[in-house]
Amino acid sequence: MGVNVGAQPGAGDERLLYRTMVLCGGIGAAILLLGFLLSSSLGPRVTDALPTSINSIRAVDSVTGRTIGSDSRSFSAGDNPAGVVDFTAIPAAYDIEAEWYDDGGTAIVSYKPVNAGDAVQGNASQGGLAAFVVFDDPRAGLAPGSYTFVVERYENGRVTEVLARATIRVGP
Amino acid sequence: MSSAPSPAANPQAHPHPGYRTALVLVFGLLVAMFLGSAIVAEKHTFARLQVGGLTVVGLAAVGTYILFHAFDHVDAGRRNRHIRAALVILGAGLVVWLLIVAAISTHNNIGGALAALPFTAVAVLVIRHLDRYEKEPWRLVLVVLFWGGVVATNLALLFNSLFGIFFVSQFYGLANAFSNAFGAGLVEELAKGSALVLLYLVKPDEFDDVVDGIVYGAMVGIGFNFMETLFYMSQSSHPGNQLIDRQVIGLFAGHAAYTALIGAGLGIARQQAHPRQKAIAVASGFVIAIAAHFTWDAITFIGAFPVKATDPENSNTVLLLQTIVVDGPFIAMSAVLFYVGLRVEGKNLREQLQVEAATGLGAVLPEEVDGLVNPRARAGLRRQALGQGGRRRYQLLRKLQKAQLDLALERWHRSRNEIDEPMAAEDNLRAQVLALRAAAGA
Repeated sequence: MGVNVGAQPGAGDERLLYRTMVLCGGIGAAILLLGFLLSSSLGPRVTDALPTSINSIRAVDSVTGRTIGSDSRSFSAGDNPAGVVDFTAIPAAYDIEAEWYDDGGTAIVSYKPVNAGDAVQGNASQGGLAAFVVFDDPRAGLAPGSYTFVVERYENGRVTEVLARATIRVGP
Repeated sequence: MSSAPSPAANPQAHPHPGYRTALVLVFGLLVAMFLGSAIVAEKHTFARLQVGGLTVVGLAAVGTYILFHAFDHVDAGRRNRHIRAALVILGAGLVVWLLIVAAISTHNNIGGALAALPFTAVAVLVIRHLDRYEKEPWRLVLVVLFWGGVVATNLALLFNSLFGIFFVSQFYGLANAFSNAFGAGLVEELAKGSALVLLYLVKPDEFDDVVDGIVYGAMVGIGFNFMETLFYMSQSSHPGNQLIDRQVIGLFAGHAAYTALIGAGLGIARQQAHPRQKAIAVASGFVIAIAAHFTWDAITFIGAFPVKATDPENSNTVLLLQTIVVDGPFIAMSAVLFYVGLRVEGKNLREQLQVEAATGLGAVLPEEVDGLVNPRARAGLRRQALGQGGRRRYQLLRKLQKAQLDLALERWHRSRNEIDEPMAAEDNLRAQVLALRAAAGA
């Protein structure tokens, strides 16, 4: 019993398997490195350079869809707040994107970029203020947690700078 | 003949040393989950979900441990008692999962589950069919599917939240998309890979080579994909579209392909002599799987393949194109590794069967070798047996063929110094083959 096997059949193939696996690992490492470099070079600078561009965070009336109440950073579950941007505080040449993020860093809503100068004119009756609500449907509401409203500068098809942020807490 | 399941290629009289490492890993996972749950509960409403998840992972770990240990018992009575205990514990885990985790995360999407199940079942059968020489036992296939679908998804839910809170939330714009993609790749592949690492540690005798690794890895991914389908179907306004995207277009791509690469790394590590090479092979599998997942998610998040969400036909076409372009190269990597692995397995099995036949001990006859290494010929012989001696003869021949291949695998591992107690296990397998041959009258 127990006849020993001499030369390993397929030893070349096994080396090939190992080398292929190492090559795959190398390709994977290169992809991850490239991703890291791209995100660090293309990702926006967080400057918070124009904090006054966020005028206020307010509750939204679920019937009329209009902002109500005063500036607050604390809301109740089910509320649908809006971030009010003061476009007069932003250079007119800037294109601005407004976004709401949850505490996991996921953008819940991203508004299409608007030109700050155009937004001032378009919202002249509100003194250049424009509200960016979390949900289009005013009956929808936020679950408890933290949420951040972000005003970003948009250039060449991407966000290049974070101009202002405001974090709210939604209680249970 | 005994109805006991055929022993593994290298059955263990006592828990394998890998059990200890596996227990430490599971304990570490549970502690990390407990701490993580406390942090997430502070920030989210998901406290109930995390408590349920922690319970499910704990029960799954204990149940799986007892189940694996059960099959190491030679005594049928003890084995059956342990199997019953394991099934009760795993069943309890499933109930907790259904009542808490699935209820919250997928709203107990029974309709979605019924719709997705046939596709997932087909994927399992196809992958198992491709494993042409030595199919993995159903008990392990089902365990890895369970770990992929229930345990890994729980781990991913919790650690994705933690990664988001501490890492992704620090970034905006493109950096946010990339960090989100990186988090999903890292967390989900580690979660799925943990099931494979545990299997590798506690059942090295059933984790023979790269082929086994790819099969187990794909199964974990298929289980994970099943649960993810239910989750997205319950969240989407177009659930049918989600079903097609994940259970038709992405069935063998995505999770199945990524985790197959982790399995490939572990399978190749299994056959490396030096610890350094083992570590490099395992790390390579994880890195390429994380990178593949990252690539898919990053490309999706930045919208490189724009989809008209309101047009299901456009959405499916674009997704198919994205799958071919983005996942194609990673599927090709798995396919190449699988193909070469099968070739190596086939060559070595033939060699070992020939050597066994040459001993004249009767477990393998020289004229049987060609048939044993050819799945079609094996199936043909079984059909012949069915025609001549009915179902009992068919089953006996099936068991005989499996035992002969197990014996060849045992010899292969022994020739490479990959097992601890070679001769006793080999003698047991040979005795079993001879008993089956006598019963089958082959």
